[in-house]
Amino acid sequence: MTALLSAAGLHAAYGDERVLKGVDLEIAHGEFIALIGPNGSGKTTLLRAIAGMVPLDKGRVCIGGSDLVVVPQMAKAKIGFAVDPAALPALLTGRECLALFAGARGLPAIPPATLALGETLSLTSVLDRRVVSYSLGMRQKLGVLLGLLGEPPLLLLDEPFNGLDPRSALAFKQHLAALVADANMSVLLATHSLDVVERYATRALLLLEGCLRHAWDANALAGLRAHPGRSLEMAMAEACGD
Amino acid sequence: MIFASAPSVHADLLALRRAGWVAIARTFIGPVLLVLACGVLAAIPLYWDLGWLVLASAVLALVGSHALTRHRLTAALVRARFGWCGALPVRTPITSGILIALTLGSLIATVLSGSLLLAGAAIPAPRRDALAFGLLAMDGGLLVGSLVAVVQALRKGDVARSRHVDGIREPLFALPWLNDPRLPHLLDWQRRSALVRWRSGGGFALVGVVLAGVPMGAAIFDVAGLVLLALALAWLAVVTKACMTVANDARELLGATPVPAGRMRRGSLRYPLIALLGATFLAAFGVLLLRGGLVSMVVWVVCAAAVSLRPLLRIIKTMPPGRSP
Repeated sequence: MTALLSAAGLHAAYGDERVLKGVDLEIAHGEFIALIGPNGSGKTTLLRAIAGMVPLDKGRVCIGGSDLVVVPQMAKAKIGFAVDPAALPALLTGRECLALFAGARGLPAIPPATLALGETLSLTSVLDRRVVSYSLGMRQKLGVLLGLLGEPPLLLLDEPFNGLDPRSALAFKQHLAALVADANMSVLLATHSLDVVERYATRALLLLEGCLRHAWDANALAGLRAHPGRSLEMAMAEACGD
Repeated sequence: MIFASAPSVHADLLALRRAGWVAIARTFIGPVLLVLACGVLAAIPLYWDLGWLVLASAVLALVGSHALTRHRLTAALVRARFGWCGALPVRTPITSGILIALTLGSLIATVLSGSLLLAGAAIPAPRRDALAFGLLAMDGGLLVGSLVAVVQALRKGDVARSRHVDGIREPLFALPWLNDPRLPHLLDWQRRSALVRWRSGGGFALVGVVLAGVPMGAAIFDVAGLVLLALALAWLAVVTKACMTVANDARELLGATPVPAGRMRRGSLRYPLIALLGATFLAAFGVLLLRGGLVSMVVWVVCAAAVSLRPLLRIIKTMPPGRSP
């Protein structure tokens, strides 16, 4: 079966600073993959490279069989990338942002599923307010909605739980789990929330200094959950060499 | 080092220095264009009387330097008070003092470069004796405009107001068909951004000051023509610059979506091109009222190109994120 995402030999740098040093990654349909690692290890850069937002020095990204450089539109049609709250346009309302993204994804209108998720996350009442008046949590919710809009097969999420209130965070986690289980969507989540990884991920990958150094599959994660004296936090610290 | 006590100003200067000579030159392009515009006034028959030409140059310098200084100073103060170092125990008067010193330094540089430019241009002119008056009037206008802007920008509440200025006011005539269906609301984003910029530079209040430079006893059609020409140029400059910034932000925001690069460019060009068309129409009407003829229109087009060509080219050359330039 063709992998949903196939990334091979990814190298990226900011000036002289090499951030990704040969990352290989494959994701199948219906996988919930967590990307963990210390600050500055390259998690955000890897997500942005997969989304085609960071130029690659070397390497190749294929999404659903479409090469990101050769046919970028076809490749990008299969991904959703949650927007960084700081990058949201302050002068537009939340609903206008959703309409802009719906248009950019080639959808005729904002999908009802997106509006329903907005309702679940208690965002409906502020959708007609300007983004400049949003709190960090509201911006985070809107950024997540923009990423999920149209429910593309692969979701790329970078610390999406930052600033979310516990109720909304729980609702969002359950929504993601349902999308993976029922709609066969895949998630690549960069996070420091290891409890989320332990509970929801089917695979966890440790990124260290621009290289994938360790992986925990579903069985290993289940083992960590079952063992009262073990945790992913400890396992990660060991893998980092602490 | 004095700049260490105002970290945001220090950061701005470092960023400017690292951006290279082109970025530094770009910060002076506004004042230099302003000085050149004073020379362009001489092409309008209404100002062939020397006294009025000198007065109009002073008014133009005053209005332009006021708009430029107020916009830049307010933006710098907003960065200092609400930016990344907003929570640091930095004393506001120190930051303001350094910014005023920098503003005055830039003003002196503008006055010097403007005087040199005009002096150079005046060598072949038949009335060289008027040069001193012309320079004095223009430098006086620059000085007064900048100082008024400094006072306004430092006024209590001005920075806070500009921080929260919404710019959301629905247009008088909604024209939804202008929106690219693939990029709905991009046009609204550009329009609102232009409005916020326009307001931070002084807005329509400047029109009143422009009127002060109109010759006494001028026919009403001449006055209207002159105001139309000035407004069209100022609005075009503001709109194209705002559209360039929004196009860049939108490109980054929509970088992971499947919108084609060409579509993005065309969508980003809609509003500035509509503004260009509208401004040209207004200017043509102004020239007609002034009975200026083809030469006046050509002069206006050259001025319009000077203020809008770079932003338009930047939009056209916009690369999708993730692709090396």
